[in-house]
Amino acid sequence: MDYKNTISLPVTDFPMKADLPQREPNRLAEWAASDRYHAIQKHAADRPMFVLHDGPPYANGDIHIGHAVNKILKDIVVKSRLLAGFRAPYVPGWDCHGLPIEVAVEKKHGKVGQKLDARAFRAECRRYAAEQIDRQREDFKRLGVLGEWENPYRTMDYAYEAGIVRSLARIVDRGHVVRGFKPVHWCFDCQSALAEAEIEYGNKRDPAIDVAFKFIDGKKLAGAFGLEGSIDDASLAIWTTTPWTLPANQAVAVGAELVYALVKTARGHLLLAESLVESCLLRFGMSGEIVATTTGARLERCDVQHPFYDRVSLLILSDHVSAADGTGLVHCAPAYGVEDFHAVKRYSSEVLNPVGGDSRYAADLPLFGGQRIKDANPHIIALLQERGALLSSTEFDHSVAHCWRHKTPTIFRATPQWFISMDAASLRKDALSAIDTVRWIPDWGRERIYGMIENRPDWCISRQRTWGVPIPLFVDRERQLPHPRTGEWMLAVADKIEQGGIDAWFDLDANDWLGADVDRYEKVTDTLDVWFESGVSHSAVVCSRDNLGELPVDIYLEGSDQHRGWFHSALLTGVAMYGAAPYRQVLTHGFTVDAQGKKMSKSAGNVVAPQQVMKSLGADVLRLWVAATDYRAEMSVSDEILKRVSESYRRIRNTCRYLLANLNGFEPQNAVALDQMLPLDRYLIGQAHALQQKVIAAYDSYQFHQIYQDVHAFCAIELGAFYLDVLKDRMYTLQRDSLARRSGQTAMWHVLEALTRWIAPILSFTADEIWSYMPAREHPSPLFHTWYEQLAPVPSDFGLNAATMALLMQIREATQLALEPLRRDKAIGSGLDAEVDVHLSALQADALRPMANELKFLLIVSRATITTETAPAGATVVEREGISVAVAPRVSVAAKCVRCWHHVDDVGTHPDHPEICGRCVENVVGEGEVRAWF
Amino acid sequence: MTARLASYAWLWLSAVMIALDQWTKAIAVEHLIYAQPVPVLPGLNWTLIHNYGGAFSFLSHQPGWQKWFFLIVASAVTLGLMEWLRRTPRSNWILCLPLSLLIGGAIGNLIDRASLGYVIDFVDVYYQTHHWPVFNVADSCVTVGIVWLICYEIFSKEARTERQNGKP
Repeated sequence: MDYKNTISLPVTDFPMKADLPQREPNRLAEWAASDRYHAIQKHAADRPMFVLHDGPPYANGDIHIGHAVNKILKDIVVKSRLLAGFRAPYVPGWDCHGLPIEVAVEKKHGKVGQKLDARAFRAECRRYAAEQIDRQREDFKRLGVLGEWENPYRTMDYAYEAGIVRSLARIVDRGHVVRGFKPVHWCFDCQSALAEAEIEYGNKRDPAIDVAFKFIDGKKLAGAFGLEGSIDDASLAIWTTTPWTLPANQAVAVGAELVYALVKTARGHLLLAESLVESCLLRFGMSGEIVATTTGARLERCDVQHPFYDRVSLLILSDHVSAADGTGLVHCAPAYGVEDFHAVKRYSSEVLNPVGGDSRYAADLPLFGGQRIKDANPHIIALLQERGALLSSTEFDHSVAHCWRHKTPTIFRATPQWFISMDAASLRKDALSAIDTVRWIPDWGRERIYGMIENRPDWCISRQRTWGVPIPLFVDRERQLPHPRTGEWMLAVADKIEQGGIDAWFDLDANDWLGADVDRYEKVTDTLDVWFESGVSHSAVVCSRDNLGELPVDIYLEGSDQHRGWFHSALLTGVAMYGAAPYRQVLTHGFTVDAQGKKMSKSAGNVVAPQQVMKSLGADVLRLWVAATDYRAEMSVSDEILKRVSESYRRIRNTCRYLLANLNGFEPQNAVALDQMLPLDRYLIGQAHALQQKVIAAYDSYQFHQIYQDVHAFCAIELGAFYLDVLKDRMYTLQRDSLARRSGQTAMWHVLEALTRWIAPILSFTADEIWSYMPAREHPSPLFHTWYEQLAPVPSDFGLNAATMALLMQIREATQLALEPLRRDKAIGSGLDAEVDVHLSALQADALRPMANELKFLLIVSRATITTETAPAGATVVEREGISVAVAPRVSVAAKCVRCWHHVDDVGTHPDHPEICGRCVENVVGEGEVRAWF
Repeated sequence: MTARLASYAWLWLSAVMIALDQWTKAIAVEHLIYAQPVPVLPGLNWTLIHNYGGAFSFLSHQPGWQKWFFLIVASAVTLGLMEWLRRTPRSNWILCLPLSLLIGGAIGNLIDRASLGYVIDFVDVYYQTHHWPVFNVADSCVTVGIVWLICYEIFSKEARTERQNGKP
């Protein structure tokens, strides 16, 4: 007789081969067709909110692996919060204004005013940004990221632009915005201030000169050195590489603690730092001797004469002076240096700023009016020579700031700018205390941002650009103060911008607003720093959409560079607007590097492009890599690493496939209640329950790599190497509807229900695919569900308690070790060709007595006999924590049952079924075998 | 016109069955936890199940389009049955009754499929460990209707054959 039809082999259509690159796009199409995002949101509408607020990537260029990591991490968080029982909306965003888009548009259309006027230029920028967003959006969606992709936020949306202006109005209203006159990085080619992030450093050759400034009051100087009388022929010496800043010299600074020497030379007395006297004299080609020394503090306000203008330069104290090089005295032009600016501010509120935005001196500047500063250096040096003030002149190569796009040197230049003052309305203090209301993950994030906020200068929020949101103010031409009705007007302008975009401000006619005052006030045409724009997304998006709850949002999640960027600007604007941080938690992830820890670059050839990974391995493999990698450090990726990840992927997939295959013919109504399940099955449910607790805790604390490790180990070891192996006999040979077989299927069903949920935030495509093969599913995707609730720990009086289970696993291990040599010698093919004697202590034997008859099923051998006799020499002993068990194997001599492959003595005892054992006869024609344990 | 549509009066029975079906489904959804059986009698549980496929989970894991497939097939069958009913004299209850039951059952499940994408089943009949696939009131209508029609066909054929053979 052929017994094939009496065996229930695993059957499933779920494909072994993942074919992710081909299959994933189909699933995306289905998600789109069924509007999966909104269906889930609707389903979760009554749940508590968890909002991850998206940080907007810049809308320029195709996405790279760093973008992919960021969006996948966010998606894992959002999906795990859904499963944790929250309504977790996700609205992706894009940062759309700013320089890089202007540069891209300039390349095609020329600068503003060449081919296009400002309005047309802005329209072109808008079109360009929209195009870029479309490209990036497709790539992000392809990663399997679930969100409101058809209705994202874009900082160039009219509503968002209006939101920026409203936010600014509130910050102005709360007294944080001040008009300042400060040196900022200035590019003459951009004719604009540059942010720190827009600066590159490069080498430049400059003139390096030493210049003498004559002391005005010889008596005071002598007094500073404790000398009698008056020193009338004294000068001090400064060293500079920017002769063009000398017309703006207002002071010379000394260090209060430094020691200065008065040196007698042929051209009179010179003041130099004592430690630099020798090197200076050498440079000047002079000889001389030190007459007296004093500290810098005593020299304060021994003022000097400007070398070519008829005015006084103050001798001031400043911390930024060092005696490392030069002369130990620093020429200060406060308009052209940040430190100079701060040093001079303490002595004078005046800032001389003779250089225009076009790099020329003001026309009314004596001697050099109208000259370009880069042409002026030789003229200034010649003049100094003529006046006898030039002590030395040479050239000097050094690293200076360059504009990142023009690659030309920038200067510091004092320009009228708008600032968010860190201290005017105690923003710094409030922001620092707000930092401690936030949970920073990893925790060093707190120190980093605290240090930055503590030390940062005022935030310059104005730019002189075309493609940006305006600072819509009218200011008094003379006093540079905003019009008294500014608060009210900004809100009115915001309403106009909401209708017509930022052009509404640029097109606005000042006469309509100012009336008779039109000559007194001017319209500001500055735009806002783009970091301000994205920074206020908490207001322009979270507070403005009705489906994102309230501030603070639950989490911001970006790369670790954003402590300086978005986390920073969001914190400052949040505190400035509401007095509180806009977020509860901030999670940062490291940068992506190659396998050697090197930065990725085209030239190094180590770039892993997400688009390429989608085509070769699929999104789920990339997602699994993201989850498997500890994001707190740098994240290494290479083709080799991804290949290893895809092997792990296959392990998880095949485990799920085998579970599905065993569930063939199983429907929920066939499920066995927990208290009627076989102990081994019940034990597995307990194991799964314990693991689910770990998985939930790991998702709650964003430790995704832990989940990967635990779930992978569960598939490979607990299921693959143990449970599923043991269950084969029961699944294949017992009657289809028998309690024992249904019990095993029920355990597998519960485990698969839970397992699919565990992996759903990470392996989103695969989880959905598994789900569609589930015996029955309440909803179309696991993401509609919450963590599986049908798992439970084993009861306290459970027959297979932890100690018994440990003993059984120890016996199993000993058995496998014992069979290994027989298998190697080809004495047996499978374990079923063998029998074992299990040598135990009396106590252990007693503990296992109830399950002794079924032990052979757990060990997968044809006979397992428990004995308390001493183990023979050569038995395999396994010891654990002082307990040892011994297993002695032998090849079975009994006949082999053709149906179940066990070697048993009763094969052939039934006359109608000469080839099979008694157990199989019972399963084929009888009432069916009963199992009590395994 | 009225005369030709007279047998549509039987659609009241369909409507009653649809109402009964939808009402019992609503109760099941309200009171049952998904896939957790509630024992009623020996051999009968209430077990709430969502059925995405046809009978025996046919096509149940095909993404998306199986919904449309079943919707179209069910709609076509319903229209066909309505036409059959229209051509049947109103007084021929022995044919009108199963037809209206079939129409009611088909529409009952069609409503689920169109609005939810799956069919709600909750009647779980079993003997020992052997379970019948879980079903609902609409399925019962369809089953009764089909069995009735098959019997009708067989018996009326026999009747015809007997007549043709000249027996009384």
